[in-house]
Amino acid sequence: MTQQIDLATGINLGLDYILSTNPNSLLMGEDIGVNGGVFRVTDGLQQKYGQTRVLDTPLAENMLAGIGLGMATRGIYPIIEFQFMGFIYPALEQIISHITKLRKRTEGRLSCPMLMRTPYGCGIYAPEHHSESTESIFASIPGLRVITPSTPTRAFELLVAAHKVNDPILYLEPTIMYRSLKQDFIAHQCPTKIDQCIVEQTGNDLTLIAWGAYMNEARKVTDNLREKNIHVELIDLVSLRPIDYPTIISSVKKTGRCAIIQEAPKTLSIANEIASNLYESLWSKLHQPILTVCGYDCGVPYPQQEQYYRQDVNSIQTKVLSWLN
Amino acid sequence: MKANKLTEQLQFKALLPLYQYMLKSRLLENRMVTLQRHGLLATYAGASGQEALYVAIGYLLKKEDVHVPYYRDQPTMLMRGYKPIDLIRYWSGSEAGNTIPYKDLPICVPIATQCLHAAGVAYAQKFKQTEQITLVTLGDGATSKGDFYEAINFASLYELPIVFVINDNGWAISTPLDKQTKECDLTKKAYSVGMKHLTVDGTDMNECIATLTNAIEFARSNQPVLIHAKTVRLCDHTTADDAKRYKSKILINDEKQQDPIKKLKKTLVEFYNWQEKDDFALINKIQKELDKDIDTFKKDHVQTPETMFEHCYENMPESLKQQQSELNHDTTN
Ligand SMILES: Cc1ncc(C[n+]2csc(CCOP(=O)(O)OP(=O)(O)O)c2C)c(N)n1
Ligand SMILES: [Mg+2]
Repeated sequence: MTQQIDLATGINLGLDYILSTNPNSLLMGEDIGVNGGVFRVTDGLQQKYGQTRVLDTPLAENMLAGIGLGMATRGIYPIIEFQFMGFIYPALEQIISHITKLRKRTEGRLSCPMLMRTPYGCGIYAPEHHSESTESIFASIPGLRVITPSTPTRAFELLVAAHKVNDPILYLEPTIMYRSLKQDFIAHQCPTKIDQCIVEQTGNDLTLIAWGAYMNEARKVTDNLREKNIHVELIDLVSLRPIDYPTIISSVKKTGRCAIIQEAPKTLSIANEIASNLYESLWSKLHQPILTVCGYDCGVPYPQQEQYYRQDVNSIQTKVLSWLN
Repeated sequence: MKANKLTEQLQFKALLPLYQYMLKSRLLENRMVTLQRHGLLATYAGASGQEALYVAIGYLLKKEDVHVPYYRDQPTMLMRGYKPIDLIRYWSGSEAGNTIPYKDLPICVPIATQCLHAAGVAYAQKFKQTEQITLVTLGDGATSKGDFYEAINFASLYELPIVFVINDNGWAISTPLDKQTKECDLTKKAYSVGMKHLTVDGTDMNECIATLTNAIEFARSNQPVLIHAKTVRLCDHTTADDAKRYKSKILINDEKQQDPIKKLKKTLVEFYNWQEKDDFALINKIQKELDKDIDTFKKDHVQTPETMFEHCYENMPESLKQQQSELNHDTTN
């Protein structure tokens, strides 16, 4: 039976699946129970699984991460919601110094399988700190896995697959996509690996890499360019750390051209990271310099100026075309 | 609902401006919500039900004192140099709303972080031997964060001229206080750091003035104080929230009985011959002022793209200048 779902529902179904199949899993976060989360992503789960498995916690992000570690060492699988990416920062000490280091520090005796979820990205006209795109910070943390879905089905499958990986994982939910994209959904059509890119479209002219919310724009640019007889190989990065270089390199080897688009600021970013790796491994195979279309280094501005910060299809396409010429 | 005859320190002449500020904030709030529904504001967090507390704070702080707000302090801010248009601009998503003549800190969204800023400000005040104090506000939910404990501990240890005011409106979005902490008497949080503490009905202007006067006096002699003020939140958490999902109809109705504006009006009517026609005239006058601000805002609220790069540093680095000119090039083509 198929069902039309949006991204938020895909995540909700994924969480439901984990809670129903793993009795040692639990959700915790601010306003996720009675209220179903500020984006209603966890709607109905507390009613279904009760207050000991879906916790409306005190308001403290460092607490969430720290107690998550304690639980994880005792075989509980904590799924933590940070209400917004801009409010994870109090938890960075726990994430950087403990959660991602526990396995290494104890030579594997202890580990910290847990999932941290958060909405991220701009474009929803929300107040300051609610539209952060600081994935580059998290993708620079050793020991952390960072993944992000770009379709409702992928949201479900990635969650389910992530739950089987015994590492701490940050799961980034593109806020602007929560309700904007609907898709037919058949559970368990294809089990996903969490650390592999997905080649959505094959093409020979250039490789276009994006992730999260920008996949929307990337898909439209791909379609538009096809009408101009330019064939894009479109890659959803999916895993921001670790990065699936074998897939990317074999694509760029074929196309000889690579464009990367990202919402996060350019300096010290994932786009730059990928570009630098491609230069190292494919220098002589590149037909032209790599194009990066990135956020500005002022960071996501107050909502009035988001429209200038976030690149739309037109502006991305113009940049790609002038780069090709 | 009880009406209170006013203490001597707060006679009618002083009281009327306070009532005006409460009304002004409430009427501005109603207009803000409408603006938001029309897509002109991003999100908006109101202060209705909490005006007595915030107006008392605005009334008692001296201009040179420092107010460290969170995001629900509109009534105080209106008394400390913010004009309605500044607040409209802020919530419409523009930093222009943060530029005011006072030296207060701006609105603070990351919960409880402002408590530490305030303790730092108070340390500086003491260090520089000023006569000033700092007053910081926070929500009940904010008491769960380490920042709050760290700040009261530091303030108490160094005997700083500071007042912490917890605006306990009972809820942190959908989370009631008894799911936030086992100890709902928030003055108890001061025990562990050896700090003075007071409780107040934050919907009662008279009590707010008396308690805050006390606390501010202590603070001026370097005795920090924690105030637990009980208020009600008569609005949704923000315009993005729907309180009906977690508050019962009965509770919503009970909370309305605590409306501080209605309470103060009752006092004015019963003891000071305030009449419906006076009220009506006052409301009209305020609405006309608000009309003007909203008109100005509607005419000129769009920021130009390149300003996004300004003020990141004292002097803009070359790399940022280059991005700024790329953007200019993009938007003019
Ligand atoms: C560090 C942090 N975490 C989460 C949020 C999201 N958030 C905004 S307001 C709020 C509830 C705050 O409740 P309270 O402190 O009681 O203040 P109130 O809004 O009720 O005045 C939450 C969780 C935030 N702004 N900052
Ligand atoms: Mg509150």
